[in-house]
Amino acid sequence: MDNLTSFFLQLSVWGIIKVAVIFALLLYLVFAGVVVRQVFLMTKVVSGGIDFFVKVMAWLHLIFAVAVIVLAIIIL
Amino acid sequence: MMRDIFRGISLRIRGQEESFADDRDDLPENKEEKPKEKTIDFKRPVLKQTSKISRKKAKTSKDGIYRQEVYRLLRKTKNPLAAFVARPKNINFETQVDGEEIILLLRKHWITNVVWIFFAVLMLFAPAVLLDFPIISFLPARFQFISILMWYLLTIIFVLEKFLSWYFNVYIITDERVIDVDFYNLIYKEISDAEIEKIEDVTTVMGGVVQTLFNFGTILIQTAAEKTEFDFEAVPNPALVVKVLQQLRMEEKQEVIDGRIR
Repeated sequence: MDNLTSFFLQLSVWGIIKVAVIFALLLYLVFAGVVVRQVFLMTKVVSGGIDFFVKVMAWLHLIFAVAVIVLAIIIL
Repeated sequence: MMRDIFRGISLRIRGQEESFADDRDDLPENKEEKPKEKTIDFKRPVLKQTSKISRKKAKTSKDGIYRQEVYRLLRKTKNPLAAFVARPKNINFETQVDGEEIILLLRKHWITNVVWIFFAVLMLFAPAVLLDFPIISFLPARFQFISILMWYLLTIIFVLEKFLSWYFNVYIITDERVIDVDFYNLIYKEISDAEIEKIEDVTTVMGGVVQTLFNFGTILIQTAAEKTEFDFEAVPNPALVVKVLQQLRMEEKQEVIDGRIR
């Protein structure tokens, strides 16, 4: 109990914001995963043309989201 | 004697026997030979052959006339990012049947993308504005850095979502069907199709300065299918699309008359 109390007392405002930011980024990561999945479904419905380019863009977006989370955990 | 000499002189030209004596109609022998040579030996087989060809032509030519007209109206498009893609080679769709040919693949006119492209450019350069107007200067430097990265994440997803929405919301006209593929957002899609022979009414709506200037508009297709109305929104060159639909409908009608329904 004392440990928990001391943990909350030590928690600064920026610490709470950090947790909130990481949580938001994790939610965003799920969304980025959904986008990749959706792009694959879309290219199934209408295939040809620039499928490869679109898939690469979706994957790059997911990788960028992961990179931002890692940076947020390290930097903040 | 002379008669015998004339009768004996004859020529064979292209497998047909012609005789100088033929001109002499007064001879009773010639009168009997004439019909034999022309009708039985040469003309019958030739007549048979031509009639076969003409029957075959008659079966395919009507279908061909309408399709040829469609091909004449539309030149093949190679650009995959075009809003008006005619007879694409490398594009397929999920429910395509073997032998079904895509005649037209339509998207919204490119001018409809201008607004979001403008906002995307603004979003791209927005962090640079922070140098002059330090709105987030109260944050520690590390938070400022992460917030800028988050901003660019949002910019990327904004552009990606808008582009995907434009690129995959397509209207497809094949030689058999009309297909409407709608992705309302990234997680909801609706695909409906109707056979061309079930099209009852086609209406073109084109209004406003921008639509008139860039020649695009909405085509409303009434059908007797389950989905009664198809909206081809803001498609380029609606008059040409309607012409193509008209030719395809006539082709389908002809197929029904000829009993050649797939």
